[in-house]
Amino acid sequence: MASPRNRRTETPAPTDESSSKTPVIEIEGEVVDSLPNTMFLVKPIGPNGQPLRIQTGDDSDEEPKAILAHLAGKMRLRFIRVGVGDRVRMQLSPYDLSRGRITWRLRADQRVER
Amino acid sequence: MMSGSIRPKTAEQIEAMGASGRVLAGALNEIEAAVEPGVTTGELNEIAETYIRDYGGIPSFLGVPAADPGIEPFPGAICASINDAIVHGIPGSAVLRKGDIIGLDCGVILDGWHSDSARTLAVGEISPDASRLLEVTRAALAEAIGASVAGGHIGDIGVAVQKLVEKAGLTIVRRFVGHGIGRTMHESPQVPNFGRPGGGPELLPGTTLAIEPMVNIGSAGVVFDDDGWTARTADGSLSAHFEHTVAITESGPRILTEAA
Repeated sequence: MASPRNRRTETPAPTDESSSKTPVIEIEGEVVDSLPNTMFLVKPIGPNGQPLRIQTGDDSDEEPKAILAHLAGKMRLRFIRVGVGDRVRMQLSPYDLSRGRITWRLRADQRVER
Repeated sequence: MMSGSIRPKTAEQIEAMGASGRVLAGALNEIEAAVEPGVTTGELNEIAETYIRDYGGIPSFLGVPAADPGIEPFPGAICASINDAIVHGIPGSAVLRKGDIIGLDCGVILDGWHSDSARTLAVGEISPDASRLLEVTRAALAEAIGASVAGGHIGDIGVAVQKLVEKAGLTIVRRFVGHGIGRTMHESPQVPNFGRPGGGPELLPGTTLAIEPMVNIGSAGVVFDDDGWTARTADGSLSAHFEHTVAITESGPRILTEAA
């Protein structure tokens, strides 16, 4: 009896509840600048597409701040290319909201239209 | 579902699988002799099940759970796949007609060891295209077995099938694959009927595989009947399927599903 071929499937990202590690804040954003060393500046975007203002403590300016984010090791290993304009999902540490880790590049069909 | 690592078998275990395979080959010979216009696939199923139980075996296909939820476990001892059915046809009231081709796939458990084998047969006289399909697919299985040598790789088996089939202008079904076999029907590794030379895991002596090229005349696409099991060619073209359980040994491939 032939066996159905297994395909690699998307591993669901651990949710806050299921993760036994440090809690993370997961948000989406748009890449506004590509920096050396697979670092990116990402402008946070809320669930409805509105710009998100992340309070990092020291800021008093009006403009929503871009977050300095690096590419998750998992994505580097898979050679996921991220460029300016891409929508990404990133994780922030609750202890330092000015830094993020990009964990996902959203496909066109996952993009929330503004 | 298969998971885990490849488990090579000892010489004694391979002998035990050969005993299982001989019962299976006997059962397939019985139903092959019964294939003629007017016979139903349900009757063939009964012949196979009776034969296997007479020899102390268990028909391993009975009750195989479906890969997708909400589908009943497989209800037969054989898969009977007529014409455009590729694999996993449920035996029942379907009547064989002259000119049909029928894929007969069956599995046996004897003393806890599995064997799995299939052949596609002509019902009476068939078209030249159909008989060429059977010839090529049978030859592809022979090539694949020839490539199953210790030190080779799973990919080499796929290459052997792919070369022959594609040169003949026929297409390979990619939705289903062969598999390791032993204490359970589906073990690691998967054995695709396509590949790259040297690709996939290395073939170690003692590895036992169910090698099973599935070949279509037209599209490689697969559609399923409402029963959730029967897999057909998307374009309705004919499909053939041959399979043997094979052990990789120091002295070359050994077919385990042959009659004594």
